[in-house]
Amino acid sequence: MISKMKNINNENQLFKDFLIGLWKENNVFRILIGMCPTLAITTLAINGIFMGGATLFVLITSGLTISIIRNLIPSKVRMPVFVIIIATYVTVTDYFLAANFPTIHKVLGIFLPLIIVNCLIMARIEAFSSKMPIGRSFFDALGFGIGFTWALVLLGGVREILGFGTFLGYQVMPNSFQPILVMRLPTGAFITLGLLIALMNIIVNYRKKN
Amino acid sequence: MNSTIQSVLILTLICIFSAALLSYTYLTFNEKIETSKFGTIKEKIQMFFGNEISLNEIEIPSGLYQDNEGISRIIKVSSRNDRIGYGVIIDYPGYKSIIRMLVGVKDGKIIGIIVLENSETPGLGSEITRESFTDQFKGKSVNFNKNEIDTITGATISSNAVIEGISKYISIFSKKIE
Repeated sequence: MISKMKNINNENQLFKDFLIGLWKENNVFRILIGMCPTLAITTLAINGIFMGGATLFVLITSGLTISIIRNLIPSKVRMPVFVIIIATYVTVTDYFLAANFPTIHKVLGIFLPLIIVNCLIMARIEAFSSKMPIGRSFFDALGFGIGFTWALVLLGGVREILGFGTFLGYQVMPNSFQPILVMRLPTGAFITLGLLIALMNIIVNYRKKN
Repeated sequence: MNSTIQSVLILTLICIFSAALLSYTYLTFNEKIETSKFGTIKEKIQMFFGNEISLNEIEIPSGLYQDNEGISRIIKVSSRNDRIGYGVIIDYPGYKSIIRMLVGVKDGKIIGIIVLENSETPGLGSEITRESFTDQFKGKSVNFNKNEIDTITGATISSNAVIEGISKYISIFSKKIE
């Protein structure tokens, strides 16, 4: 009876861990960390998919690796250990994309290696993976990775629709549509991001009231 | 366990793991990466420099490509981390198309040339791709005299385009790069 209750608790806990990064502490719209690639590559929705996917992969692999050895790492050297592991997995991702998706790899350019210093990854490892068992670390990484991805696709999608008239390469605006060129530039990124954060705040406050 | 020893041990193990994973990644993907970056150019460069080479594209100094003529790509060729030469891709206007050629350069000499793309007159200008023409460039110095190369009968303009393009831009290349 008690073990059954423990199992239910476990599943609930894992699901909660997954949800945090997805919405409540979404790194783009709520806690605002790892913003550098967010603004730079979201000119098109497809870039968001690949950048988010790459970050998700690094979050999961480095999170799991560090969670497995978490009890063996002396606190003094934890930063070098984290960075080496993160850098290794980012390099694997970089090579994988260069070999299989060369055009996207060129578009993402330097922001792929920069995943190594993306605050999001270091934050999740320091706050979670280095202290939690592998099950919970996995779902935490999954939540934040998918959370980052949907945020990038949303931001990239808005900018692509308004700036190019397309979404994922398909024409969605009528031919008479005049693209809003500023959306292709960093200025447009900042403006769109600001408005989206405001929108998320409205949604959160509305849900709090009800 | 003494904290320092444990630190050293764990860092060493992590580095070994990292090195192993990265080596495996490199071996798995490098072939494909070079193919997408260089495609069939790599095979052609291998004809000049042998098979055990790695390629790196380097940035072209400004001003070397204007109005459809000039150096369009510079590829550094290395064998075991030692630079052994360059593959230089030059465009030059021919009779009715832009001729694209690959020149292998090593130690101040032209190892050989290959005419890559052209839409010159079939049977006449297009003969510039023939080895009987391109072999003449083998072994020439980067500052060779244009008179040393014979043009092809019936393909004067196309041949001269190749000779002029290579003569002009390989000497510029060797001054700026080597």
